[in-house]
This record gives sequence, structure tokens and C-alpha cells, in this order.
Amino acid sequence: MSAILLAVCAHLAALLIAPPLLLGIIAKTKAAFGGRKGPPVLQLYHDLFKLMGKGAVYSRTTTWMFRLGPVLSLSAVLLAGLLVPLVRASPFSFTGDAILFAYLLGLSRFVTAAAALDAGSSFEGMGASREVAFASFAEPALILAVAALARAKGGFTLSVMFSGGIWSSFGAGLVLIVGSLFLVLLAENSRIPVDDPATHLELTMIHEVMVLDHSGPDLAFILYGSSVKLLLWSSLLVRLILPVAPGAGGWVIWGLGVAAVAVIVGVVESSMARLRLLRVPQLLVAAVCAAAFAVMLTLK
Amino acid sequence: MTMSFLILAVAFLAAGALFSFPLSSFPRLSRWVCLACLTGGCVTGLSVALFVLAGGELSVFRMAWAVPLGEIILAVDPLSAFFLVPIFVVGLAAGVYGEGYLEASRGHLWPAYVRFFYFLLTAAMVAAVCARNAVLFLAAWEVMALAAFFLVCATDPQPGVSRAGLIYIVCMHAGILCLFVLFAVMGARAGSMDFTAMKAAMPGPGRTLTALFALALAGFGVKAGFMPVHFWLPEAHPVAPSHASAVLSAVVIKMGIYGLLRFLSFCPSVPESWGLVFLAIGASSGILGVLFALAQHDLKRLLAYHSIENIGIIALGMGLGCLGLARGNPALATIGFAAALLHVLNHSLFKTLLFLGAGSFDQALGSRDVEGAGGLLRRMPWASLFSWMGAAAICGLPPFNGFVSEWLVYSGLLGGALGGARSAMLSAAALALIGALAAACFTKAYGALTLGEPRGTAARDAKDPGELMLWPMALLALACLVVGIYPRPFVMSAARGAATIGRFPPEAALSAIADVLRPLALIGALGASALGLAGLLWLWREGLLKMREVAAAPTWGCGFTSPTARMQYTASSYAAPLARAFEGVLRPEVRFEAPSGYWPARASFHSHTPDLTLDRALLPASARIEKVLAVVRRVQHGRLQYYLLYAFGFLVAVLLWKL
Repeated sequence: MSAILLAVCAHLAALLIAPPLLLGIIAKTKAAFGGRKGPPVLQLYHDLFKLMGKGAVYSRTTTWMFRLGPVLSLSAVLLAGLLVPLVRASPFSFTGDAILFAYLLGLSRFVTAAAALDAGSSFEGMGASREVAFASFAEPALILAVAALARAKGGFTLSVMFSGGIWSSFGAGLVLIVGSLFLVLLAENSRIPVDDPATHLELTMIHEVMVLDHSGPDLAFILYGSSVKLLLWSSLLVRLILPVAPGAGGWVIWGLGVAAVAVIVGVVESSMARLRLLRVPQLLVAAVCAAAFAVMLTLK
Repeated sequence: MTMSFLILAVAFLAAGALFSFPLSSFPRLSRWVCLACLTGGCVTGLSVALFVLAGGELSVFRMAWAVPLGEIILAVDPLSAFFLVPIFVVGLAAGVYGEGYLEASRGHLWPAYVRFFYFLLTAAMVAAVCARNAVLFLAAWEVMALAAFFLVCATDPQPGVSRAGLIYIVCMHAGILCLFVLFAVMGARAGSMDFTAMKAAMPGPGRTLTALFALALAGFGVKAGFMPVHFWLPEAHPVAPSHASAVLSAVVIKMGIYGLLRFLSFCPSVPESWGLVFLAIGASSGILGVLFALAQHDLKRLLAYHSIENIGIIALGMGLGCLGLARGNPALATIGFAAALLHVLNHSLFKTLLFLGAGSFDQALGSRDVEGAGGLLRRMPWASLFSWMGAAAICGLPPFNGFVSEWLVYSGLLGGALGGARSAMLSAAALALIGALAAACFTKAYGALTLGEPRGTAARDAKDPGELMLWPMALLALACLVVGIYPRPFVMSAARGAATIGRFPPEAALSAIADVLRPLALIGALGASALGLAGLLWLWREGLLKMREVAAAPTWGCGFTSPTARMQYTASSYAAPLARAFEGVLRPEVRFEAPSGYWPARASFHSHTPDLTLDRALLPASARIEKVLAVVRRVQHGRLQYYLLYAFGFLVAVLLWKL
């Protein structure tokens, strides 16, 4: 009993505390590539703390929908975090939890888009429109990857599907799935080449422009929520690639792996520009195709 | 509980229909009589359905009928009972709303006429679902089609109504022709029009069975709105009075699904190819339905296309069920058919809710166009709140009911029982695409309608409808949440219905479904906790902000200082990235007058997406046929002398031939 309790506590602690670190690592990587010193790795913790202590400005156009967006979005992402295996199998996993994971992230996107539209600004509408459009391409890629993994692993829970160790039997398929899911990770977390979180022009943003009007604790919830989402996707990728076993060794491998994903995201961001918006669907369709090929490899 | 309760329910509905015209000169009295008959009928009928779904058995009601080959045989098995639930729930909710709606649209609608056909439609659906004699079934089917036709045409002099009514009635009769042939062949084989005899005389696998399946698919598929015979829905649903649109979209099209499931329950063996046919229909109806919905500006037309999408999801479940039957896997068959049935119920709940909401918006704005609205969440808080709940439910988002049935479909497709069949994996990807596109479509439509600033005076002055219209919406929204959070009894009832289709004992179905009950309980719990956690975060934020300064300001205009409501993002621009990506399928017609010169004075943009079957294929084809046949028309000019001459010529020709 106490072992389970400990596992739950460790899961919750990693889920709640680690996420902002990842964005710090990405920023540090980008700074290193740019020859700058960059903000400290723990910068986002300071930012969050500061934002939680601030007041807020609400647009006169907005209603409760605008206030609902950040809280329900964060809550959905955190609950999705209960399903994702970190070092051990998730304590709440069940058959078919992959679908709930995808749809909880969908709920988070839905309320964020609704909150963005509530401000009544063209820019936020534009961001919401792009976000839901790109998600429409990312979602089939995720489900196809899940289908291929469910077939290859013979189980339909995230903890079983994402548990590494099939390089020898399903190597080619795994390469395709990892590639596909990495593209989905970049799209879902609004990173280059899909979206540029550091851009200064509202017209070219996707996610950042959706949350333009949020301030104070709302903004903190949103920033924190997106860092949690990045951790969840990174954890899935790490578990797919590396053998993560329960125990202290597992924690080390997992931690290094997740940090490595953040570094790779940083490298990608430093080495290429954002794609033209019309090209983004093509990139995501490539992710869908890669996952579809992985599905084909499972059919003997 | 006996069958007399069901008869009583039908009698209540019949009484409602009978009283509607004689009482029409006493508006208050006729309204109360109508509400009483509706409540009495629906509550009684619902109790019968719930009794059967809880495991109760009812005897068969038999009565002689003067019609040749006909006999009044009514029975309620779990499959019928499962379809009775949406008929009575939606019948009651939309009927009560309808009273408020008729009151609010006085002068446009003739209350007695709408009430009469509404009661008739509901009673005919009850009869169709419970009928166990083919003549009775076809009679009820025809009454249902005609009553719905008169409801579609209720606002007749308005533009587009008669065209919609005509398209609807032609489609229905094309479908019913197939059904006549289907039941005639089955009846001739059985030597009786009794369903039990037909079931016993069903042919084994072979050409006859395939032909019968094709007839059933065509006849019932038109009613259900499968692609590509879906095109009457987006015509008929927008023009009907909104509560009638709700019934049309939420239950009438499900009668097609009922017919197909009843037909499947007759078949002693189901070939695997039928399952693949349903999966293909499901994926294409689902994706095309939601894509065309995305391109619409008319809210009710958009919702009609979403009905096609949801019928696609139901067809995916049916495909799984057929695959399960074909492979002799009762667990898969149960999950597939239960998913289909549960989605029938779920769709009827949230689609009714959305259509009732659309009716309120339509009445408040005087238009169904979403582009001219905006800011209704402030002005019509309750109607908007309930509509948003319906929108989240139809997108399949937890914690609402749509997710439960979609999850069941996914778990059947990917759960391993199919051994990773290619068709199943592709269907799962299609379902994912459908879900994501639906979310895009509903944030578009309801964002443009209810969020931001009002774009016109009608939207600025809009007000919530009366209580009679709000309460049904509130209860439906609550029902969506309840099914999403506590799905267990609903899934178990659906499993009982699935057992009837697959002809295995209910215990087998219940044990097959036992595996998914634990995940579903967790899904419900996690969905509820998502709401709970959001509530806690909300309170935390309120607590934090209480100590700080909270300011109100205009929306950040990115440096532009005098924004107007018309500068907001429109629904069309919101959908543009997806519309462009799927341009090859949608092929929108765009009229664009670009601004030109240094001081542009005029600019306009108009887009319209014609329907794939009706506008792109059928109407051009029929126009071409008409052109060819114009030659023949020369002999028909309405002058009696010539017609007599034709008759004479014909007689002479016959005479010459006989010589």
C-alpha cells in the first residue's frame, strides 16, 4: 500500500515541480547557440511566482468564458498528466487511457480557443483559428501512432505502449513513430518550425497571440500549463526511446532523457526558421504519413 | 408493467394530435392540453422503455387490422426500448420548448398545424419502433415521413421552404420504395408479413442476402443520412421550426439506424464485408459531414451537416459490431453495437440541445447567419451557456457524453480484438480527424455567435428566451453531463440492446461489456475531477485577485487604438486555414471584390459551399436529362385535340400490329 502511495507522490511531485525547468533548458540552449548568456534555467519559476502575485487586467469585452479558459485548460492538462507514465507506469492507467489523454488535451485547446475568441480581437481569433487547424492534422498522427504502438505492444494503455525495449523487433516502425510524435510535440507545444514563441509580431504568432489578453494569475496558469504539456510529451518520447525502469536509475535516465528532448527542441529552434503558415499542414501531414507507415509495418 | 402502458402513451399522443385543431381558437387552453398530453405520453412511454432496459419483459400486443396482410403487433424488446428513450426524451424536451417557440413566433407559425404534425410524428416513430408486422411498420414509416414533411413546410411562403420540402419528400419516397421491395421479398419468402416469420425465413449467406442488405442499406440509409444520400438533411433541417428540426435531426434520422439494426438482428449470419461497408460509410460520412459543416455560415445548416458526421460515428460502431458478428466475437459485437446505440442516445441529447439553442438565437437575431452575431454570451447568458455545453459534448470532449461513446468506438477499433486490422486503424485515424475538425467547427460557430462584441443591432438587443424554452435546454445540458460522468447504466442498457441485435443472451453481452465498465468509471471520475480542479483553480485565482488590483480595459488592439466590432475575426476567416487545406473536396464558390486604389471605397467577399451530391451531381444531371427530354416535350402541349389524335393513332397502330 505504502509503495503505491509513494509512487503516486513521486508521480505528482515530478508532474507538478519539474515542468518549468524544461522551458528554462530550451531557453539556455538557444542562448548558447546565439552566443548569449541567457536567462537562468530557473527563470520560469521566478516568472510564475511573480505573476501569481500580480493583479490582472480584463478586457471589457470578455465574459466568464475568458476566465474559464486558463483554469479549465490547466486542469485538463494536469489530469492528462495523471495518465502519462513518467518513470513508473502511471498510477491511474487503464485500457484506452491514450484516448482520454488525447481528448483532455483537446479540451484544453477548446477552452483556450474559446477564451481567445472571447476577447473579440482579430489577432486572438487568428491565433485560435491556426491552433485548431493545425491540431486537426496533429490528432490523426497521434492516434495512428497509438494504433501502431497498441498493435506492436499488445496493450492499449499509455504505460504499456510507451515502455521502450522494442528496438530489436520493431526498430523501423519505432523510428517512424518517434519522428511523427516529435513533429506532433513541436506542433502541440507551439515550437519552431510550427510556431515561434519568441516572435515579436502578433500576425505571425499562433499560441502566444491566443493568450495576449491574459494577465496576472491567468497568465501564470497558461504558462505553467504549457510547460506541463511539454513535459508530458517529452516523457512519452523518452519512454519510447530509452529503457526507463522503476527505481533511482530510472529517474536518472528519465531526467536526462527529458532534458535531452528539451535540448533537441532548443537546437531545432536555433538552427531553423519558422515555416510559412501554408507549409505547416504539409509538415503535419508528413507526421500523419510517418505514423501510417508505422501502422503498415505492424501488419504482418 | 404491461403493454397497456405503451398503448396509453400512444393514446396520449394521439389525443394531443386530435385536440390541436378543435381547440385552436383557445390559445391558452390548447397550450395546456398540449403540454398535458405530451407530458403524459412521454413520461408513460419512457417508463415502459426504462422497465425493459432494466431487464423487464413485456408480452406482445396483438390486434386484428383490416388492412390486407396487416396485423397490429407491437412489442418492446431492449433494441426498441433503447430507441424509445430518445423518442420520448427528445419528444418531451423539444415539445415543451416548442410551446414557448410557437408563442414567440406568433404570426409566422400556425400553432395547431405544428402541434398536430408534431404529435403525429412522435406517435408514428413509437409505432415504427415497436411494430412487429411489416405492413404496420411501413404504414408508420410513411406517416412519419409525411408528418415530418408537413413540419418542414410549416413556414412555407418563406424562400427555400418548398424546395427543401420537395427534396425531402422525394428522398423519403425513394427510400421507402427500396423498403417496399425489401419487405415484399422477405414477406414472400416467409409467407407472412410477421417479423418473427421473416426472421425465421432469412436466407443464408449468398446473393439473396447481399441483395436484401443492399436494399436495406439504400432504404434506411437515405433516412439516416449516410453520405452520399445525405443531401436532404442540410436542406430540410434549417427551414423547419427549430423544435421540429431538433426532432428531425435527433430522432427521425435515427429511425434509419433502427431499421438497419433491426434488419441485422434478422440475419442469421453477417459477412465481414458488411462491417467493412459500414466502416467505410462511417469514415466518409464523418469526415465529409464535418468538413462541409466547417464551410457553412447558416447555424442550422451547419448543425445538419454535423448530424451527418455523427451518423458516421454511429456507422463506425455498427461496422465494429458487424465485424464482431462475422468473426464470432460477441465481445467485439457488443462493444460495437453498444457504442453505436449509446451514440444514438448521446447525439439525440446534445443535438436537440444545440438545435433548441439555435432556435433561440434565430428568434433573437432574426437570422441564422453566424457572421452577423457576436457577444450573445453577455446578452443571452443561459441559452449561450447551454449551447456551449452542447458544443463541447458534440466535439466528444470529456466530461460530456459524446466522449463516452466515441471512446467506446476507439476501444473497439484499437482494443486488440480486431488483431490490428487495417480498416480498424484507418477508421480510428478518421475518428481522430473528425473529433479535431468538430472542435474547430464549433469554436468557429459559437465563437462567432456568442463571444466578442456584437456585429449588428439585432445582436446588441438580443435577450434570453422565456423559461419554457430555457428549462428543456438546461435539463438536456445536465443530461449530457450526467451520461458523461456516470456512464455505467447507459452503457449497460446499450449492451442489452446490442444483445438483441447479435441474438445472444443479455448476460453474455453484460459480461462482455464488464471489461470496459472500469475504464468508463475512471473516465467519468477523471472528467468530473477536471471540472472540480478547474473550480478550485478558479477559487484560488479569485482569492489571489481579491488582494490585488483588478482593472478593466479595452481589448489589446496591438497598437491600433480605435477598433470596431466589424474588425473582429469572422467565422469564415476562422475556418479559412482548414477550408483552404481541404479546398479540393469543398470547392467553395467565392465572389471577391478586392479593394483597389489609394482610397478604396468598395470591397466585398462572399463564399458559398455547394453540396457535394445535390448541387454538384444531382441537380446538374437532372438539368441535363431535362434538356435531352425537351425534344419529347414538343408532343405535350395541352391541346385536347392532339391528345385524342395520339389515342387514335395508338389504336390504329395496335390494330395494324394485330392484323
